[in-house]
Amino acid sequence: MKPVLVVDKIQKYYGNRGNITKAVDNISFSVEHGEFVGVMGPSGSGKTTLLNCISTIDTVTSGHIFINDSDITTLKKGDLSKFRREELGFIFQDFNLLDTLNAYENIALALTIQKVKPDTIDKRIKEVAHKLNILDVLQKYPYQMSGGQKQRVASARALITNPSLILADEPTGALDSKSSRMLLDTMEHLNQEFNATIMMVTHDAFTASYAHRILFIKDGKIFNELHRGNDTRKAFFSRIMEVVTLLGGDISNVL
Amino acid sequence: MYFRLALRNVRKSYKDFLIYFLTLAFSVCLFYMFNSFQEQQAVMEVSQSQMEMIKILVYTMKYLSIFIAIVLAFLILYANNFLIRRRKKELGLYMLLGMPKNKISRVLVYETFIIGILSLFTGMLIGIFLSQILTSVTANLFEVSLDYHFIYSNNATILTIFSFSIIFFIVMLFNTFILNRYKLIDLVRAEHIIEHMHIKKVYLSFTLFILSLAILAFTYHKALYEKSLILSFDHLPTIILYGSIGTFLFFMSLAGFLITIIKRFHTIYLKNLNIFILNQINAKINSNYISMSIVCIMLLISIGALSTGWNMNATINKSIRNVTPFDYSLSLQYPWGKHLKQMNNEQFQAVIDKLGISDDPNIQETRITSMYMTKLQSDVHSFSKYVSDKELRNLINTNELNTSILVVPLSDFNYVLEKTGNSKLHLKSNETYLYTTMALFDQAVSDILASHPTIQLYNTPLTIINDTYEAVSMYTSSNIGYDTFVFIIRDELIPSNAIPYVKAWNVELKDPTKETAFDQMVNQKLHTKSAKHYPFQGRSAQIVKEANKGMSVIFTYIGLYLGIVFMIASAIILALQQLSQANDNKKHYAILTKIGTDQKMLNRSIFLQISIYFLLPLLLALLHSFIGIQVVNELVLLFGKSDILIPSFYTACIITLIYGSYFAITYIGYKNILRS
Repeated sequence: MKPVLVVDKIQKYYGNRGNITKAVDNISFSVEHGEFVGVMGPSGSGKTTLLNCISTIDTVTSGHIFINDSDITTLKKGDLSKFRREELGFIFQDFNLLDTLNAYENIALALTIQKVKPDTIDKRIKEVAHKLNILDVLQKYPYQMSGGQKQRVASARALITNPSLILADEPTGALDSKSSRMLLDTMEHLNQEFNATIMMVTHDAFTASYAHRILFIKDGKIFNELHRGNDTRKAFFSRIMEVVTLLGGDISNVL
Repeated sequence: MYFRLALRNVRKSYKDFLIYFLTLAFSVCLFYMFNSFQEQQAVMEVSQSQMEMIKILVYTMKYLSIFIAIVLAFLILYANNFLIRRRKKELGLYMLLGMPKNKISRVLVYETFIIGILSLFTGMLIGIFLSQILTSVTANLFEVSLDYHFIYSNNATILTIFSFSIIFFIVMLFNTFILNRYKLIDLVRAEHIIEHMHIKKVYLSFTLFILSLAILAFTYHKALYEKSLILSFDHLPTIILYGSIGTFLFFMSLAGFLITIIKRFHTIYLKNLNIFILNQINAKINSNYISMSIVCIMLLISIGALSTGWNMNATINKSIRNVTPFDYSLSLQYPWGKHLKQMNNEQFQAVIDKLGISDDPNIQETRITSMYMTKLQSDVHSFSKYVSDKELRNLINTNELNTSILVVPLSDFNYVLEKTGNSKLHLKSNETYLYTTMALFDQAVSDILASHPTIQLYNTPLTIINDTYEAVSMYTSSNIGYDTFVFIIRDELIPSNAIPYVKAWNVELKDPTKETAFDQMVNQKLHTKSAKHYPFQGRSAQIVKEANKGMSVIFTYIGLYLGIVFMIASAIILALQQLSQANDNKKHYAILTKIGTDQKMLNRSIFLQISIYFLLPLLLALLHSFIGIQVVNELVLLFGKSDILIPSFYTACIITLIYGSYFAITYIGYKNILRS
């Protein structure tokens, strides 16, 4: 199958002459359709920069990123936002819901900015809300929801446009362990039942253990790659912990 | 050290201070300009009577300025408060680093001082520059020539510096007070505090909205239907109270009402960013409805002041021509001298000749004009029944104003028409021409003219033939007119024993520039013994013109001063609210960008949000003033018939200019804040 995402030797430098920080240093990998990929690494390893480059929020210094065969590093600013709303879905650590809108409206916004016909919107929202089990919170405002509900609403917003790739940036970062588990179950469910391609950045080994493949990043380079294969999630978690130990991560990075 | 810190703060965050600074500088500039009339007079070639008028203008402006200063003080405090709130985090940082509160407030005092000095200086400079232009406008309005040299008003400077020093002092006290109330945790966490959301029950906002419409409709009805009674001002407090309550409820419930309605229309609601825009506006109006109502009422005051000012100006100027047909008129009002014996024109001329004024070398031409009093033979009801307005009809029937029906001979009337540049009138012996000089009766007379009734005058049945009328005064007088009904008939129809109302000796001068000299000469002669028996009234056209011009200038400037200040105040409040929202909205727009919203769509959303926020109070204020101006017009009618079109045009120009530029500044500033 053709890969959804191909990252080809990208570099991202910050700073100027004499004081250059290589946030991303020559990283290449690809993500197949229907994969659930995790990106792990300690703080400052460049994983968020990598995600920002893929999500077109940031630009690369050199190299190419192909999503569904189109090279996003050569797109113009106007086309980038079009690309973002049509091909990508986002789940952020701090939910990024608009607090003046209720859940229904927050989800609807992802469609209205694509100029989807208004009469189909309602049906699609109900559908996705059913999938994510948030039908009963649709009329609530963000400040009336729990963290887990907020993150599922955000997931619904990411999913409703049927994006080629869902990018999740520390999705469980602001959740308690129960909500985290519920969200991760939902993401797994999305991946298995609806074949959604997900790329998730995290520094938490437990969260990462839900992925099928994990890229470890250190100092802007890919340090290791781990496939879950036929392991149980628990067994996979132990293998991840081994790599984390190897990475020299201190205990705060483990959980 | 603290002074240097303050200086650096001002320099570094000049963008934040900009709108505050502009507000201050503009206020200073206006304040100076409208207090500099005393010195403006120095460069104008004004006569004695115009000097008096300017003196009145100077006093009026001085007292008005006290009121304006209070309004400006509130405005500046409001702007200052916004600035402080935006800097909560910075103030928190000072405290966190261990700077004591009194030192921080010292920094704030220095900052206010720096901004104050800067804006005072800039505002004064612009004010002095603009007052040069204002001088030529004043000269133009007074229709006097200008002997221009640079003018600088010491009085205005002292008054401006004094008033604004007090205002700045209050601001400093206020800042210290506010700072003492802040807790460190609130300052540090300032960004995390989410505005409390007001979500009202749908049925509540529906009920309130309908209630507000009902109250406004009732108020409008009361104002319009009973507008003649408003002259007594009895209803004014009630109308203002109801109007304010209606406005207040309107803004309280408007957003909730609108959003509920629009939500039903999915094609609108679920289109582009409409969901976001509507909810954003809803949230903002719900938390700011009080200030929006205040802005609306201030706009009403502004529009009312501006259009009434212009309206007065236009009305007075228009009627000047019609009350001054002759260079000089010496009139004898019979109702004022009941003991006067009746005179025909020859006898009247003889009295004038006796005074020794009729052989002045400057006289070009003289002519006696007369008006006669009569009772309508037919009942007054026979023509009052055509009057559509109930109250006017009652007024005519009961003769509350105690007016008479006046008759003017055709030859006299035609003479006046010729002098005022109108074409002559032709009447047959069974015809008459009706007019009024009292603008209050304009509608009544028009109603009567429309049905061309036949009336009885001096036992002759006469048909009213004219469709429209020209309100002319039969002699030069200072009043625009209190003649309710004037009938023109052929000279021979007036019997020799007709009771005179006014006889006037009218003079055309060879050299109109020596009018004042002629006026003084006549005045001297009127104090001689032979004139004592007659209550003569002498009026020179020039003095009447100057007095009226002066009045119109005073009204125009009061209107402009009040109008501009209130317009700016409301525009600034809206602009500040929008700009402070821009900071809160930064994260909203960041989210929208992240999920892939077009820049074009975002710009449109910003534009729509700001324009709706600016337009809502303006639209309601326009509706209010549309009603209000009709009521005020009743007052203006006392000065003559008014033409609403040109005043409205000028008012619209000023609104567009001031409101429009604040809108533009806000839009650009908003986008800048989001971009940073």
